[in-house]
Amino acid sequence: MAKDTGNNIKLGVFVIAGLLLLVTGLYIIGKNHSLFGAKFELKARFSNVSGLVPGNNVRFSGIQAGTVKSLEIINDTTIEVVFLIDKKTRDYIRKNAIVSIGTEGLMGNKVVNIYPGKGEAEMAEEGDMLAVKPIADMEDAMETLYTTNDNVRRISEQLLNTMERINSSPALWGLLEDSTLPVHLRVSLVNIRKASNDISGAAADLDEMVKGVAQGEGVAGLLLKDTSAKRSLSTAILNIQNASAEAGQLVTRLDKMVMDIESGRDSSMAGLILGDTSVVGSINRSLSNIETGTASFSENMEALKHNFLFRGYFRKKEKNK
Amino acid sequence: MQLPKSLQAFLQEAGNLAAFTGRFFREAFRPRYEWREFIRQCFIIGYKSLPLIGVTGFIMGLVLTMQLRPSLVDYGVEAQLPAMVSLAIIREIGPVITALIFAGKIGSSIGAELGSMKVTEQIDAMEVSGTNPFKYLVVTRVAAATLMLPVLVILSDAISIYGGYLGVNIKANTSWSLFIMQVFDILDFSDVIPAVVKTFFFGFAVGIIGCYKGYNSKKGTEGVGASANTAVVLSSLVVFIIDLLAVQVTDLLGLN
Repeated sequence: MAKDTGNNIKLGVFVIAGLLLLVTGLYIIGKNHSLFGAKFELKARFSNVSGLVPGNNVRFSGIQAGTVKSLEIINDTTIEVVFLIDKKTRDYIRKNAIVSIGTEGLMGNKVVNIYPGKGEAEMAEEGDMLAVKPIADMEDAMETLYTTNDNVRRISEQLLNTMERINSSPALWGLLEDSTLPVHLRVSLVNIRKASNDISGAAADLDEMVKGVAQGEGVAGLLLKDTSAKRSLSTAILNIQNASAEAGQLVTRLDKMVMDIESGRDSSMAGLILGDTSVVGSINRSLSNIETGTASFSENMEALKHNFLFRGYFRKKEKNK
Repeated sequence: MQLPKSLQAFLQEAGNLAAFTGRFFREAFRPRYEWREFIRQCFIIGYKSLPLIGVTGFIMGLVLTMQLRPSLVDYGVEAQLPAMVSLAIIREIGPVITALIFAGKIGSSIGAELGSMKVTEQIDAMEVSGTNPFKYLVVTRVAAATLMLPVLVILSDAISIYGGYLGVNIKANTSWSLFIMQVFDILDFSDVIPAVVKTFFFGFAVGIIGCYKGYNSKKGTEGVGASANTAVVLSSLVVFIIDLLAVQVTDLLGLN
């Protein structure tokens, strides 16, 4: 009998443990599905619920807040969804809260998200209808992704083409593989820097010069800035014009004279001298005779200075000097 | 028209089993009830099976987790491991494996016990002494099997899930509270209740087949062995057939 009692106690513990496990398990599942505890209802109307079913979770700002109680088709474009929300979340949901249908993960169950609205509003009450945000449809997302993909494909094709052209260009590779290039480039850069320094110096000088010109310094300044110079210049130019015209006439006359001399028409002394070659010879001889004559005369004069008759006269003349 | 002998034998067996089951229901709901024997059988069938069922359940949970893990890692959904393991255990593996172990242990023991009582004419003696052997031997055992298997399955599920938790922690690191939260997050009444309900049928099938085979054991020690053996084989097969029917029924009821 005592053994029976002991066995019965063990059996009781065994059965109660099993039942407790079952009841606890069912209670936790029920709690997860918001079957127990104080609740209040909220509603929202969607045009498409994307496969939402009663029992799906409702989250308020990402925190489990309740479950979907029911879905009812109101008309061809409106579906009313009723949510059971935990009472403890009630203090945070306002009338301007926004409802949207999302997915748990990429391929998971549907879930209703309630977000707080912007601005002030009263607290939501039993049976309130909340505003909805259109669902980010998977198909739309896929379409956008398709366009993006297409663009990426095109860009990559073009990039490939460019890269192929770059790779097949020996000139470019030659340039890239030229080890002296960096040195030359560096030298060029130094030269460029020097040149730019010089240019900047020259520019400064030019600037100074232009300033001087502006102030009327130098010839250019005089030309550009002195108004009287303009008049003098025009007079000078006029004189030059006259002079050149007279020079023209002179040249014409000279030309005519030369032609006359050449043709022997000129009978003047100059014409005779220039035209008759024998005259030149005679003149040369005459000049030679004159030279000899004057030398003899100069000798006679020197002899005369030393003559006692004339010596007194020459001494007096030197004294007067 | 003459039916083949094997088919005739099968149909006869099926008819006898149906009649036996009908007799069970007639006897079970008619007073007087053998409470003391029923409790004793519950202790033997339920409590004493717990170590075996517990060990197999624990190993199943651990092994299932470790086997599922590589596939889930391949798909990058390693985080779903607790959910997958718990769903598999609660919905299918827990009830079926427990029922098969139960069929092996209890079906054979009932078949052998009643068979030996039959061949040693103890059952006839009981009848002579004024005790209803069917009520005393069959009803108590079948009722005990029917009610104890669900309890065993629930305990086995819990142990399996603990095994799964250890299995997850062999390669990864997860806290008990997170694991349990993930398990219960995925579970629904439609996972637990049909799974528990079908175990009553499993238990009943194991009990009734064991009793039928034992009660109708043929003469001789050979008959005892045969009835124990066929009790196990037939009840294991029936467990699977009931499982098949159960999944169809839950599907029809929209619980899947």
